[in-house]
Amino acid sequence: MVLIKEFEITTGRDSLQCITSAVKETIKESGIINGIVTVEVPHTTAGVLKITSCGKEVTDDIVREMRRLIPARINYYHQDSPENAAAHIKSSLFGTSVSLIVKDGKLLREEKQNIYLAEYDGPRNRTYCVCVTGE
Amino acid sequence: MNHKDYTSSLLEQIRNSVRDINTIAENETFEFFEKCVPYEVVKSVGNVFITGCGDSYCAAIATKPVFENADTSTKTGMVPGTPTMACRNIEFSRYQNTYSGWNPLTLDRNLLCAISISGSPARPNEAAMRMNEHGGKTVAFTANPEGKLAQNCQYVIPMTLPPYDLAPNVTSYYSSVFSLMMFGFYMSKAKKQLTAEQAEACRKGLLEYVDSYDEKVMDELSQKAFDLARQWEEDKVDCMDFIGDGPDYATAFFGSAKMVEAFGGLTTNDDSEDWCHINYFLRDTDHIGTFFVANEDSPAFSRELETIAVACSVRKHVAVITDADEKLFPEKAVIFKVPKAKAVWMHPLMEHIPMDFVAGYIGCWRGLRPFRNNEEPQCRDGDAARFRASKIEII
Amino acid sequence: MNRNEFENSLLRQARRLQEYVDIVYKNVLPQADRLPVKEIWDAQKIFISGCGDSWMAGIAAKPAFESITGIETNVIRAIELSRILSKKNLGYSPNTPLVILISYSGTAARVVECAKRCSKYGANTIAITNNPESPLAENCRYCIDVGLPADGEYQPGATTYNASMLALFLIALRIGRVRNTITPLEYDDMHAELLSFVGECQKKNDEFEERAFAIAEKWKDLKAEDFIGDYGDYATAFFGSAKVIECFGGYTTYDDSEDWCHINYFLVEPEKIGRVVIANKSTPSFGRLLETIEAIRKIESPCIIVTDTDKNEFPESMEVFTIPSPKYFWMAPLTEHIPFDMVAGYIAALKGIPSFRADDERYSSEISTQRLKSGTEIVII
Repeated sequence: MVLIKEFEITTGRDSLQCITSAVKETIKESGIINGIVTVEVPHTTAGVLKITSCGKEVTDDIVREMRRLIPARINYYHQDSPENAAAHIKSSLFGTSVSLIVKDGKLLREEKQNIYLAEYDGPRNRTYCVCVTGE
Repeated sequence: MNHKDYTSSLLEQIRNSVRDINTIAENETFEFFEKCVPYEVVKSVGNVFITGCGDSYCAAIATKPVFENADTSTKTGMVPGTPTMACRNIEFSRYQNTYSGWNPLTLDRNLLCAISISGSPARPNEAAMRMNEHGGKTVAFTANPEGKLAQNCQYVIPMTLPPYDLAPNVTSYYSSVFSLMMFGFYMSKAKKQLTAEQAEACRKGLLEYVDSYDEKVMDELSQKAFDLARQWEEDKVDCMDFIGDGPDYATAFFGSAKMVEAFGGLTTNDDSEDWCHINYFLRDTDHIGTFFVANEDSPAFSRELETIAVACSVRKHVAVITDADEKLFPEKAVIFKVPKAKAVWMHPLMEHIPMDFVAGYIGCWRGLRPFRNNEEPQCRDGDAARFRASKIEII
Repeated sequence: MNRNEFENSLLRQARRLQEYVDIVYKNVLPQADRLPVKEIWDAQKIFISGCGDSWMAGIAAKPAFESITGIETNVIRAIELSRILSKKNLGYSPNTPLVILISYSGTAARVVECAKRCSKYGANTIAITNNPESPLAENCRYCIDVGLPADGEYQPGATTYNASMLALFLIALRIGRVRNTITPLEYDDMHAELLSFVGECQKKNDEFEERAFAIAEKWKDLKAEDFIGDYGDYATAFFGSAKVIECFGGYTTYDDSEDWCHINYFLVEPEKIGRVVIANKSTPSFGRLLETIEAIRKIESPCIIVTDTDKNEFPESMEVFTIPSPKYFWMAPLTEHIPFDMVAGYIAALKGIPSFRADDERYSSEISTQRLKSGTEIVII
């Protein structure tokens, strides 16, 4: 059995927005007890991350470190804009999807682990998809 | 008829301008400016804004180069001074910083020169209040040191104006231009962009230029303006077009304003390039008087010569104010030969005189009161909200 | 009189501006988006210049540039940029300015001179032109070809004015996007608004034309037209004044709302001078504009008001054209000129006068036709 749902969200600038509850709702709606859930953004300047949330400091660190590692420079070959060029790199390096195991109708995860939509070139209107497969 | 037979407050102001500027200069020394705005204040200025309404705005355009290029040793003046903006008063008061984006009011170490002889019009006061709110420095150039503008500014340059009856004001213009130029030299001196000797040479050069408009020159200009005005009146010239570039654009602008004030004539103004694209196409060319300001040392002089030739090909009445040889211009053009200045930026202080004379003589003949004072229909408005009672809004 | 019997090029252009917005937008967008990031990041200051309508388009676009890019923007007369502005303003980094030069034909001598001078002293130059093979394009580092169709009517120019303005807006958006001074959401929204805004105003074409014709019948014998507008709307005032000259050679003048009270207020026979005021309620000087309008009412000048608000805000005796209010204030000049384009077009048609003095042989003499080529003299100072 498969259930695919699309969600729309308005992101912020350099934002990490928790979407775990939407994922959990989709699993519940699908009625699937055991299987896989995949969360994906069909964009190339955003991503999906699995992060252990121990407070805002962690997400702030991630955003800052990403900017430090892949700054918005003016000398990328891609000339759309420095932010956009850096966003493409972040997106490809850190990924645009995550998959998690569904067990007993629940996400198999650490207590503080959450799924985040990462915006690298926002704010924008974004879509993300949740696909649950299993039985 | 002799030009000397005519007199009016406007004509008197023009005729006495050399004497009056020298009187003003006696008072407005570097020491005077230091007393008004201390050295410590001006030496740290990063950006200058000059604003005012009508003639005061013309004075801002005329003197901007003095603040930006502090030097008399070269023709164009290439010693860097202080970045300066001549601002339309309504734009400075209401638009700078109103929208997000670039905001000059938050630039570091701003100084506003707000000009108003009476000190009472609302808009320069609004500008000063706005700059005060943003933490910049404000200097009032006013002949009313007790007036509103003086109260709204942190520093005051009290200008001394010789008294004349109500008329289109020439005195206020040259006194504003002179004071601003002197203040520009003073600032450059304080900022060590000019040595004390160089600053003094600037002042001396400017006063020598004023004195070069001696009795003979003034008499010739007056006679020529008289003849031209009479000819234009006979030919029913009912619109005038003024052309000048750079600081000379201020002269063109000022000249056009004097015609409106003196006899309510229709006027327009432009630079020598844009004129070829727009005003060149004005119809009824036999009834348009076209005034050019074209000085030999102006970097735009060659373009001005071309434009004058074009104007002469389509228009009946063309006059040129110039320090260049008459032979350079088409025969058709009436040439007002004015004295040469040491540097191009000095010209605006005196070169408007031929236009003022024309305004003065036509004003005498048409018998209209200056500024339509007590005349229909303008008198219905009184002051109303046009100047003083205009609502002040700090945005 | 039946207005359908009267036609004029400016009228026809005013009716079809949205069509040209679509064309120019489609042509310019990919070119604007190719402007390199480095040059955009280098810009400490922006200069915009051109002659006539092109210069006015610069004045109209200045608020957009300063608002969107956050960079100081100077709209400078071509003669000043080419001859008078100190070269220290045009130097290499860190002072490298971005200079945008506009000429529909790309051949105006003074604008070409600006391009040569600015390039010589190190500025980054962009040409906006309809002729990518022109001397202007050749002398600028980058060229934006607005791509107006060859069979269009462009004189007197309303289409070209809007095309220049639109190209400038798209460059401003590109800079804003690259420098991250506007968000991607704002960027997308501004683009969408740009595409639809003129069309909104064009829905009023019939109403505007009907009234413009009636006004033209009354105004055709006036002594002069006097235009008033502030900041970006000053461009609309300037543009209206230029159309009076180009269409029927009439006397005309223009000023801002404050200075008008100090100068043009004193013109004699105000009842014979038509006043046109651009007075948008959404602008910060609306209060001052209302005071100015009240002074006009008292001196009994015929008056047209172009505004984004209701006519009840103004004296009853005045002709009020309400245009749609743009979501972004800086777009207003794209449509504000439409009502007076129609009035000017009808006045010219009623007078039976051809544009640009085409009925006077002096205006086709060699000296006249050569005037914009400036004797082919280019001076680099």
